[in-house]
Amino acid sequence: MHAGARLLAGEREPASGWARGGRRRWATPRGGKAEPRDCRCNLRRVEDAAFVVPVFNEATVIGTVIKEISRCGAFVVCVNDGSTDGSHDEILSAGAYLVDHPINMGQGAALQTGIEFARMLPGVRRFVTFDADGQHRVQDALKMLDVLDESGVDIVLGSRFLGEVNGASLMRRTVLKMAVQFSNATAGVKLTDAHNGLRAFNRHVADTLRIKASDMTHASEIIEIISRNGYSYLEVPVTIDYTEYSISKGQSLLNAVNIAFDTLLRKVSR
Amino acid sequence: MIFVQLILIAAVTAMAVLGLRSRATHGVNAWKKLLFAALLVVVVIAVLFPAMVNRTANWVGVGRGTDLVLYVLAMAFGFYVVNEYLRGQDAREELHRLARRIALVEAADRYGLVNALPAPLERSEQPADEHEDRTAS
Repeated sequence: MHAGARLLAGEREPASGWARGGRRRWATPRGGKAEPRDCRCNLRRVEDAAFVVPVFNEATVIGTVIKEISRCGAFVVCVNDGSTDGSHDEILSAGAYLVDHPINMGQGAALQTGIEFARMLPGVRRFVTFDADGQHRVQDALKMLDVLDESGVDIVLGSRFLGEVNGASLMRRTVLKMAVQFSNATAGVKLTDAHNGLRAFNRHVADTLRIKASDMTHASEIIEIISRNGYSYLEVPVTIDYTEYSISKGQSLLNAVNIAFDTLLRKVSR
Repeated sequence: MIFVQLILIAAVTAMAVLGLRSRATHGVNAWKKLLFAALLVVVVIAVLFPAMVNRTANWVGVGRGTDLVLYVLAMAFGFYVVNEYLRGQDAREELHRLARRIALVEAADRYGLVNALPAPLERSEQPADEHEDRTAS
């Protein structure tokens, strides 16, 4: 079910451009640690894509996530959103581009910053937003990039409910589905999953997207922007791996109330 | 004149001095100031002639003047809260724009991308007119 395990014939080695050279420090594993999942060959390389990863206190997992993404040769832009743990150093030593927020501004703000930074990188044509806690799969992102190119839409959104959900409670699934209903009713865009952090989009979206919501409501806001700016969009099934870590890091279900409140307030105040 | 009237009028005078002292002369602020001055006049009249408040209350169908004052105060407070909330959001947006710029400049410097930095404000991002004359409020 993943489109990832494909190797296109005639793959070339990454061009060693000035902007990318010298930053691949992870090529030599630190501390002699073995990399169990190293199967460098089965990910196609997408060198015109930038993965934007908002990071807030993810020091324990961010290194692995960065290495996982880097295997496909994409730019990795990590926005450290005022982390108080070792995220800053982890990002640097894993070899990703690091953008440091001087204060904590929330995930939506971090996404916006990351997108604006990625726009400055030479040769970037496609953008992916990716969660730092390891719940997304790089293969899914690659599949979405394929869909983006083949279909010619502006933005491709990942959907848990077209794909698989591993390890989510019935309660969590119910709340998420209610969120979808709410979003469909308020945003004017019909989706099966309103709050998925995995998205792929083209330059046009990257240039015109302006996320103002700083906190978790940015997911609903992005959907509203899709509707307002008239982006064409598609949903693609993705697999979310809910681990104990990602659930403990993720938003509490009660936060759905905040999201609903802020969405309605945005409606009346604009 | 009873003592409480003295205190109230002194407070209103202080409010007037503080509120109207700002030098900004934009249109929006001028109207705000006129409204504010009118409010102060009403307050002074209400303090000096409490009976008028009672009569007004009866006229609009409220029992006592005190009740009318309470209702007006509750509504004014509601508006104040909403206004402050929206203003807080605006202020947060500005702060975030500033912090984002710092983050981008710093990162661009680290990776030799300074020449790729866009102008700090794009046309569609410029603050709307109403945001430009916040100095008086």
